[in-house]
Amino acid sequence: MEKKDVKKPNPDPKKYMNPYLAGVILGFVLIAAFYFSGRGLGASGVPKRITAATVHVLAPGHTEHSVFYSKYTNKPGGPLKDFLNFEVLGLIIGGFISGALSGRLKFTVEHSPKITSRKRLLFAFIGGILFEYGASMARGCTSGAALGGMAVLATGGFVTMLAIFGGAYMFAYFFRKLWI
Amino acid sequence: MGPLIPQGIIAPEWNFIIALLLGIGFGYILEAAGFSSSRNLVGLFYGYDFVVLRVFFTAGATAAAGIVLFDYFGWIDVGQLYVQPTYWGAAIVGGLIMGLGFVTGGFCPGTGFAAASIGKLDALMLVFGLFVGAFIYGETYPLIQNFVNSGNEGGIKVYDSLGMSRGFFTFLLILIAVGMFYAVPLIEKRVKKPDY
Amino acid sequence: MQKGTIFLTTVAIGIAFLVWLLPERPEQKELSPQNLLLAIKDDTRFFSTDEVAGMIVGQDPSLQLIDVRDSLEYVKFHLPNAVHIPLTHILDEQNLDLISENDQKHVFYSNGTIRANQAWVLTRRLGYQNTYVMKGGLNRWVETIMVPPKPPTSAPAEAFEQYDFRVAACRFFQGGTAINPVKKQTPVKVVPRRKKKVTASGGC
Repeated sequence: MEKKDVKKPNPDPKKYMNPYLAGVILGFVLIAAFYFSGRGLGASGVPKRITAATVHVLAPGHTEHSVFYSKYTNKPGGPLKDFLNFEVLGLIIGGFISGALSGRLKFTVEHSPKITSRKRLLFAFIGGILFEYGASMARGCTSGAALGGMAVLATGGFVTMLAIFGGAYMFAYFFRKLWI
Repeated sequence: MGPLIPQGIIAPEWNFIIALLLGIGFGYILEAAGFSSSRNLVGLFYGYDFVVLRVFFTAGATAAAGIVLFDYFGWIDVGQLYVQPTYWGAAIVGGLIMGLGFVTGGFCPGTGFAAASIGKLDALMLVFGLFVGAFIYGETYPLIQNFVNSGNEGGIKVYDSLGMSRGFFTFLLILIAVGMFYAVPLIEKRVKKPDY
Repeated sequence: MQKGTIFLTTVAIGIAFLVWLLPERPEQKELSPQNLLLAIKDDTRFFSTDEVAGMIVGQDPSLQLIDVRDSLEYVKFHLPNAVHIPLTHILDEQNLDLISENDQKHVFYSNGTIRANQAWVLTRRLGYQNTYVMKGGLNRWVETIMVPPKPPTSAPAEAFEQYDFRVAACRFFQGGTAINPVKKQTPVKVVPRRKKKVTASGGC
């Protein structure tokens, strides 16, 4: 992967797609998701399902008695045979294709020079835990609840979106050292 | 008439292939728009880069208007689309926790997966955190179960909640989005983007 | 300002006006015939007479019995706390308001099962979710609750428990509440029924 980056197929790897064009295409992808499958895109559901599947393998008795895990493990087909899992698999492939085409494939830890990369990794880990916890409560993350909710004009989608961005602005000041 | 799979027009086996293709499109756009860099994403919260707002609201408004038009032409049965149920308390508290996760982690789950796919190790760490978060949620679920499941309003629509017609709300949504697109460069001009 | 920006803004606002001015289709809450057929095949709508009796005895606040027979029959006999909505009036506005309350289980009953089932099909078709049918109607109610058949001695223990419950319930309904033979571990336990969702599932 790093070799490709050295070759730099794209002369200017920092050039990103026009955000409005990207937005319109993403909007079409979202419409296609509703038109074909009757639902929006998502991401945070996958860790839930894979975790449920893992716990089910390690401690099958535990999942059967848990209201939370059994929702996923007792589904016909199991927690892994699910729309979302395939969609996120595609997401990873799609991201990789775009990164490869524009010469952005590289193992890095992107962080502000004011913090060490270890600190960045630690906070990324904490952020992941919080994001998944919040997404499980609110029944969706920025893609599933906020974006998908906006497409079908669901009240919950707008409430969740405002809470995510409101929360981020509220807490942004305390974590500014991480970024600026 | 859509949605094709819930109505049985396309066999359900295709759902996973379609999911994979939709995901590829989704991931491609996220990466190409620059969402694979946490610096671009959190710019929204510090005022130096509003690419998230541009892409997010363009996509949301396009999809919302598109679905209204699809409904008008009779191509899609809106009643059969999945509308997430509204649980006020859980949506607000969960959203605030996600906001906190956003400014600490720098990615949301979808962008985290996309960024991890091009080798961002911080994103990989975040994805690892997602799994741990799911496990913690599963273990603490009995404690918060009552709160999370209280106040279910069902799949209510925002235009009903606001007492507007669907068309008028979508009109406002597009207008607000366009207004924001004109406003944010004024902020970006004043805030310097950190260079790293 | 660039020409491109002005053009795109105009397009966006044009689409916004278009979306606003397009006539709205009446929202289709109603079930399509295909989905209705699926719902009819699904028998989670039925409550047995034992289950209904258990809910009445246990004073389940979510139970809403609806008698769909005509008024003569209703006056002659009806289950405790049942409201009377004759089948012919089921589509009246105030009756639909009652049925639309989502935190209650609206259980239709008639003499047999047929009229209650018809009421159920009508309301399901209109998109109301929480309607049920007491299977067998009042005929089975009399057979099982009012005059419970004694199980043969070779019957399994549950049959006797059920019989005891029915005898106790029968006394309850005839006013003999002095003794309280209704054991706490009655076999009748109302499990929330999971309905098959016809729309796509989703969420993140």
